[in-house]
Amino acid sequence: MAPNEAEAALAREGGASWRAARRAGGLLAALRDQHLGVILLLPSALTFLVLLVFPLGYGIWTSFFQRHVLDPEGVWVGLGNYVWLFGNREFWHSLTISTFWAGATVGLQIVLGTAVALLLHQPFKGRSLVRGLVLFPYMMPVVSVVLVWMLLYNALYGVINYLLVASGIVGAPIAWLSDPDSAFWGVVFVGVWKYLPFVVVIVLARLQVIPQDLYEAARIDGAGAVARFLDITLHQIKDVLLVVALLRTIFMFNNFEIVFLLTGGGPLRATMTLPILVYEQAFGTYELGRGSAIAVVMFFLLIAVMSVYFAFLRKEPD
Amino acid sequence: MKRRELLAAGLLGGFGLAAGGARPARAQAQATIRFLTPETDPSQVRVWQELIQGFAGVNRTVTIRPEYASWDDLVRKISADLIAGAPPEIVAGSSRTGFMASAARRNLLVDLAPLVDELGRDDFHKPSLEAWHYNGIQAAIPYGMQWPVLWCRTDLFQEAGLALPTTWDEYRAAAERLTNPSRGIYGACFPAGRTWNTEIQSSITIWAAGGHIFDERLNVSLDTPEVRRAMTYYAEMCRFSPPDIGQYGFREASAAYTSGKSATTFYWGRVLSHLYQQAPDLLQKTKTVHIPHGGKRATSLGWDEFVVYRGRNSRAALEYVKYLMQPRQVYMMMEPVIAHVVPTRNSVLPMLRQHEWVQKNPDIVTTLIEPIDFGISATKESPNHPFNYKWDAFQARNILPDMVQRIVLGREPVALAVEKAHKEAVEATRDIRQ
Repeated sequence: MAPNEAEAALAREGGASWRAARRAGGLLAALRDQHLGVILLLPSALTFLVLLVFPLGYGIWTSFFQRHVLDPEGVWVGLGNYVWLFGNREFWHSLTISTFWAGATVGLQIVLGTAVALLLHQPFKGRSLVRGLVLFPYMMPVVSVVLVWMLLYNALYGVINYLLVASGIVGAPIAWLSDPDSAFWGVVFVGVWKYLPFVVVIVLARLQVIPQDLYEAARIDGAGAVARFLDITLHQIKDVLLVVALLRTIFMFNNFEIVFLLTGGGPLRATMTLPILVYEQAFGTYELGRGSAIAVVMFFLLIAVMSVYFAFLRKEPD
Repeated sequence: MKRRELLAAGLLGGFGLAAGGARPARAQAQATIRFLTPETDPSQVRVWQELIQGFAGVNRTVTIRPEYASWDDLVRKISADLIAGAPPEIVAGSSRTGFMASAARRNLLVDLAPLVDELGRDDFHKPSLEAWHYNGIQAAIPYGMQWPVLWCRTDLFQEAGLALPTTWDEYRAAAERLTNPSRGIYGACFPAGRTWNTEIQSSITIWAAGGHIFDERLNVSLDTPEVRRAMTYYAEMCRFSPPDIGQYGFREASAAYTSGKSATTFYWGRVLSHLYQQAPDLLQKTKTVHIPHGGKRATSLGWDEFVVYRGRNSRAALEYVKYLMQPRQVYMMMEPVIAHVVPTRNSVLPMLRQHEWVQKNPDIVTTLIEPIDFGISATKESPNHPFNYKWDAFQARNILPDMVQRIVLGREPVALAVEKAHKEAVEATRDIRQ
């Protein structure tokens, strides 16, 4: 039988079974038989629509309104919130802070995380224990991390200031989180400390599957340690680092709790990232429309970053 | 085929079970009341729990679910709940008069006037009831009122040969003398965080200099010589305050005093309970005085109050508020923070005066519980001011704390920072209509 004839026969058979099913079990049984797959997919599709598409759409819709928290009906302003946003100095300031915050934390996490992963890849006594301990900051709840660091940074009874003053490095305690000059780096340090293990774990996993014969071949060819690191290790973990960079950038750009709990965006807006500006607009000044507009811009900014990443991946040879 | 039928039957069965299972639960449903409060000291939380248990003993059809938020986050939490269409039924203790006035205007609140009548209107401190009367309704029932005072370490003042201050100049001189960073002691504790505490403290300083934030026609009046003088004084006093005041809110301002780092602090009566709990040795070394004045005497007058949001359980919520407003229950609420809040019901005062802490610490409590006539509410800055419906928008933008931060942390000239704050306030309140 030729392929086309076989398909036609199958179709005839299907039609026959449909008719047979109608005759035997009625319309309901036939429908159930034909659409069971769709029915089974419905819960997932509905969940996706309710939890992802609806909030996103509602956020975009809200950004076209001037809407006060006590007056949820609001007034349609079209692109008014976006016009306000792009002409607002605070928005550009927060965008700059967010970019620096994401750049600094992700950059330091990747550099330090890779270094720690390389160390933990070396054989030494107690390696398993140290590998477990490295995960500790990542497992701690953010609120606990923030409380611990607030105490460490405290100007009156913080350990850091105590050690600095006692050792004579500084004459008076430093107000780490209250001084606009030091607050940003104080917050960045906590962000790096908290999420470093994420990079360590992923890079370490990749390091463990690099074929050892590559290193042996390089040694035979006379490659030194630096050359082996650059040409083999870095080359092998490059793709993983790109994925980590993408994920961490999205995460840190959107990160709210660390900065908010440590400084609330202050002092003097030195740590006012975009998520905190969204919060301030929505729940500080009760302007839901403006808050939504900032969130929408953040969303499209991250889409742009992801597009660059995927374009980069597509260009890469296998 | 059989497997498909089984799956379909399982799905149908699941839906059926879910629908059927819900029925008996609904039949036994009780009214659940969300009770949101920023009064979260452990001792206060214990009292809330006791009151909930006590109410459960007399009313078995209502379940009270307590929720806690910080003072600075309270309105944000209520705002988020309002957006979600599910405000807490009862909010206890916020003193956000502007926010509540907006809520009353938008018909979100239950009128509590009938409950006040039922409880006995004559037993209440009349001005406190009036302060919460908006839009023709009793928007809240204040159960306590309070004002900050200056807490002073008498041992440190004596050691330096200083008298407790009554004027700005005396206070500045004392703060300078008492500040000794090498000993880790600071003479003052002026907050500069982007917090409500900074807003209140800067407001008091402005009022004490003879200034106003809004004039009697509710135009912004920040850019005036009085406000510049007040902010100059504020900045000077920050020099004698702990180095991390840039983050100070209520908790930090109290902790600076109870930890012995600050020789003075502006605070309400709650410090008394903090001293009992954290530093009892400081009790004998502490005295309070009214906040030192510049051009005139002034302090901030606030309240602790119950607000009931409209909802399907409003009636049950009213029952609980009625229970809480009974004299014994009001006294229970005040007991963990004696002298922090003065009851608005006259019938509670005798119980308060019998409390051991009040009897033992006259040097501390007198300024806190004896009525004053120079308390100012932010929404009514003088007897000649109308109710300030613009305050909500002004406060929401943190204009005063931002101004303080620019001066204290950013070293911006006072005149420039005040001018900027004035412009921001005009901008923030321009479109606000009554």
